[in-house]
Amino acid sequence: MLLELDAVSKEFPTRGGPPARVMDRVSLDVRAGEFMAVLGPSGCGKSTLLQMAAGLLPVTSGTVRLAGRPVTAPPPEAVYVFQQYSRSLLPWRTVRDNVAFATEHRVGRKRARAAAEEPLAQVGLGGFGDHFPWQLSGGMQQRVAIARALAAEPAMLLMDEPFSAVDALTRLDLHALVLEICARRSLTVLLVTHDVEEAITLADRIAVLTPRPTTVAEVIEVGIDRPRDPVATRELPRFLELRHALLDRLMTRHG
Amino acid sequence: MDITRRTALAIPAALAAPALRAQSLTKMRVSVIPVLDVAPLHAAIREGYFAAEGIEIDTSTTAGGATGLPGLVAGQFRVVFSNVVSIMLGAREGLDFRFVSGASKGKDGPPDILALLVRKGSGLRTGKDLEGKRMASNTRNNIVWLRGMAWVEKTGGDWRRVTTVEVPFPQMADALAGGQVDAAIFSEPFVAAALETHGDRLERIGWPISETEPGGTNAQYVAMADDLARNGELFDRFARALHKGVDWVNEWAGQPALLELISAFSRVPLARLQNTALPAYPKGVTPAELDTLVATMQRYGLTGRYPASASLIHRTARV
Amino acid sequence: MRRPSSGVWLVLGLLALWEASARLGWVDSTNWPPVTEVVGALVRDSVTGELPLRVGGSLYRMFAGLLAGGLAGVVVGLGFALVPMLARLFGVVVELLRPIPVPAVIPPLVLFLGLDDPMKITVVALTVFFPVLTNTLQGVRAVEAEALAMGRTFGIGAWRRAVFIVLPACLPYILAGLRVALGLALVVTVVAEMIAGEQGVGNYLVVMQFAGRAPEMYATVLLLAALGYALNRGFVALEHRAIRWWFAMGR
Repeated sequence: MLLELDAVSKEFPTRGGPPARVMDRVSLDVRAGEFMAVLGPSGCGKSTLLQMAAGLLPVTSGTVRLAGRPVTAPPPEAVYVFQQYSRSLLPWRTVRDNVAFATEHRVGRKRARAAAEEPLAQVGLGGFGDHFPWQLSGGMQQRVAIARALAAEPAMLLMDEPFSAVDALTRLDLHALVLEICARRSLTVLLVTHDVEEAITLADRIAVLTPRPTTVAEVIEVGIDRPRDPVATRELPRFLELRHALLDRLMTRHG
Repeated sequence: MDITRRTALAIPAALAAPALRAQSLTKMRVSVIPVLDVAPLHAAIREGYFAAEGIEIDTSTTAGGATGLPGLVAGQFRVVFSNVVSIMLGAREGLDFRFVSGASKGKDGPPDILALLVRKGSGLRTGKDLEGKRMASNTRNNIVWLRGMAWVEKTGGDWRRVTTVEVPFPQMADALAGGQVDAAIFSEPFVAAALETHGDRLERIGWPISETEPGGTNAQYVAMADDLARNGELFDRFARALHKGVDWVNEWAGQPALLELISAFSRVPLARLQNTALPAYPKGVTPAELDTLVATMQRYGLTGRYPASASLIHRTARV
Repeated sequence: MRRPSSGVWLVLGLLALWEASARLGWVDSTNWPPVTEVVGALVRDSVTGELPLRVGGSLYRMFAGLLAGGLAGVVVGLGFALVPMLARLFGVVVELLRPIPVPAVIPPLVLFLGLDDPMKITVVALTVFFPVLTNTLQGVRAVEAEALAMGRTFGIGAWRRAVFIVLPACLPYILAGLRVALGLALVVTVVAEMIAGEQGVGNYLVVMQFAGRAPEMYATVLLLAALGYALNRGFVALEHRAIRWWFAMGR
């Protein structure tokens, strides 16, 4: 078990009233090498869950453990990939220097810059090191953010709706990229998304959350063989079956 | 300006006193106003008299003298040139000023260094005419203002009924010609400048010094009493050099060399200086003239208990 | 060559009006010399080296104050933003000091710092400090939360985050504050030089005023106008180079 969330609750203070409980005793296990997607309706606190897992936000009660150790600050093994790539990239740094930023405080600027080339090539941005982020498209910017995460050589990626801000075709490209990288690096991933198809395409297991206060409604095995192709996978009967079941569950028409 | 002054100072010093060259000069900072009265100081600097006494003078020009006396109290200056009324007002408040040298006073007859100007055709002729009018003075409660009030009374007016308006000298001619004031007490070289440029519209109706107190005292150099007590020998040398400057100025009086010197430090064009009245340059100040001045001050509202005049005069000014 | 813009024509027109008003006696005062005499005075005192020397001295004091006040503004601004305790302790003091017009603090400063460069540079530094501080604070508020969280997720310490994320992100705001401060700094330098001492453009202005030399006075005014314009243009050019990303992103 790489990441364990044990009865994690989160409350936020409210003005004048009792604290608002947005998350209620969530328990979740992510195995090493596994790709888990967390699927939930908008506003159910998915990002909050992920930030607590990343050590960016303290829990109100319960424990988060990574590789058996309690998480109280961002652990070196896990890197958070942000939904708003344009805000997490530093616009005054070139693409190469953005990627180097992940490691230069540990290995020095020169080595970090040299080491940035490999992850950049891996995300298909080999020739773009000298560009600035704002000279690139949204999809390319998210690739830079992924390359930066990879540069830190983490065991685990915590991805917060990373493909929600790009167009549908670009999203498929990025799905293919993530599938390939995870396979090659045997990464553990916890992905938060509200996109059912994305969750099925990428994940081994899908945790479905309830509306607030959030709990885990159920955990579903995807059961589609790897390697997967993001386009072909969508035509498999198992894909359609899961898609139907998950959408049915998430849509509000049943009350 | 700084650089030329220092070289001007260094060259004669090197000729006059080669022994002093290696020795470092004592720096003295003197607050001055860019007026004719300080010609002896600049003469002494230029002629190397201070350098010969082992002193380097660092002048600091302040417009209107606003920072001069407060700067002396605060220790910014060793010596301050100031008009006598401001000095005596400070002494009245208990500030330990001591006169180290005279600087300027009126001559016994016209032309004065002060003049009362009005617009031509205004019909204003005497202090009586000025009652209820507005009169410009560069500052209230200084020697210029005091002489102006004395002139108003001398010529039949009630000084309390003349409204004083503070106007800096450089703006006075325009203010008078433009009708913002009805009369103005000018000091040289602004008298000459006003008559040169506004002569068609302005005229002089009075000589405030020679018509009220011929040869009246005007301005001095002062230092702090405790500084004088501790460094009396330095101030002896200072006064010796300054007084040689006075001799130089008196020697060249009426000749182009003096006007060239004044033009160099004041930047007043030479042509204008030729029409400018100069003060007398005394080396000292006497208890009698201070007593007369204090009596005049008391008369025009600057009342109070002033220290005994003789106690304010350092030995260097008893000449 | 580019055709002169309408703004240039307006300036030339105003100068022509100035010349005519003095020459034809529309404004009749020695304090209103024709512009050609003013330019003559400007050239004369430039050739003798006096004006360049004085301008150099004034610029030295201005830039020294700009550097000191700017650095202090940035450091205090970052300190306030990153250590809320400091803001609570000193925020009120700063708010109380800020509205004081700088010329009003010159007399007390003279008592403590004298009449020379330390006083003048301090006066400039004080002038520069407040706009830079306010802008730095505003800049820190505008730093993206994601950028800071990104730093934390890679295990980058607080100091390094301040220097490599917060400071560069604030730079556009800091530079905007400095640009405002630059104009004020020139004004305040000249004002401080007018109070006392024998150096700089401000003293030249006073001496020439007392000597009744209006052309030299206006020459100084023209020179200061040109200097202020050139400084601002130079600063904007530097700004565009330093924060190219900011302008490229259309902020």
